[in-house]
Amino acid sequence: MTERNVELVVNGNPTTVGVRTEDTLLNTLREGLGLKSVRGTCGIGICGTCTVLVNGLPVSSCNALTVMHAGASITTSEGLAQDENLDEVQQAFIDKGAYQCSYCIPAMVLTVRSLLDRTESLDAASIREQLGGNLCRCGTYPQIMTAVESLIAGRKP
Amino acid sequence: MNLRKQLDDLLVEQLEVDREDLHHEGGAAGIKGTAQMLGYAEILQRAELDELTGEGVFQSSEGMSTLDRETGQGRASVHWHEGAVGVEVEVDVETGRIRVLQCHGASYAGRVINPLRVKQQNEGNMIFGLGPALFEELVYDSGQVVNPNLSDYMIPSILDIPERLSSSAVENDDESADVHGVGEMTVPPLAPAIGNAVFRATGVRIRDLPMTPERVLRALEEARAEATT
Repeated sequence: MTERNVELVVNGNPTTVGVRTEDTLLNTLREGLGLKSVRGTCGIGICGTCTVLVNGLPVSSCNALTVMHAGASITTSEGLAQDENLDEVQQAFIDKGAYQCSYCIPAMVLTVRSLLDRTESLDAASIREQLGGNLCRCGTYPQIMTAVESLIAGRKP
Repeated sequence: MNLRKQLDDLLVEQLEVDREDLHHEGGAAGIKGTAQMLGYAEILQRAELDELTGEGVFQSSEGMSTLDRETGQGRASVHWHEGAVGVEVEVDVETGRIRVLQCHGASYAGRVINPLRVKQQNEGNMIFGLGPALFEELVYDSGQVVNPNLSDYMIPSILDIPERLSSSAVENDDESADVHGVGEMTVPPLAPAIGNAVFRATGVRIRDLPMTPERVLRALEEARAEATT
């Protein structure tokens, strides 16, 4: 078992973590750094609940090795709010009731955040396509769509 | 439910017997002491009726009354599954694939406290129910689940939701009415609604869940083969 020190920027804070080479970002963030919004489920990158943003892009942290992400900037749901102010995506999810048991929601919020940051215009079909990898057993998808659509409507000049 | 009584009324007329002499078994009725039985469908056909509708009331003995408001212990809400779902489907007869175009679910919700949460349950449960109705299945081999992960037993994604999905809560406006649980109320009626719609569309009954393209196609081919012999 080999241990390494890896430097990450987690939610804007430069951090050095001691990890084993087989540790995934999921282990490191959730167990090592206590960021409990990062949630493992399938363990094979299918369900999307462990999604974090790596340099702004959504990545399944359950099958991403921490040692391969030296220097990366990682965002979890904990890092979205600025001081007391929730991110607009978080606020829209609350306003539109886009959550039930909420297990999948932190990852869903991050995926939407990344989508809005990367994309100029989005229609319903492309939102569904982009969120197709985030499963929600409660079936809260209609309210999630409503929340995302409200964000897109809100940013039009 | 007074369906049994309505059937008896029809039989008394059709068979010219006394109500006391009738007996029912396995979806059929006949005269006591004789072997011949009439299926319920046949009774309706003889009476030239398309359907019978039964009405009934069940009074639960206890509701909120079992909740001790001091301790929070006891039953907080009554929860019987009174849900109904209607669907519109499209069946591809070449591939056997079912597409649910439209879905409406309703449940008895008693006194509604949070309308959004009721809506989420009613609609989310139909989305949940699409899985076991159409494609989600745990497969066992010698008692062992062989597809235990989300990659192999499919649950509905945001790409699977019907184009038109709506719901309604049947509310009790009485201020003193009980709070009524709405959890998973529209799950049980969804698969039967889809099965009935597929039957209406194709004439084929699918009796196993999930109603996968393979099962639908096999049933369609059996029906075609029967029709040609």
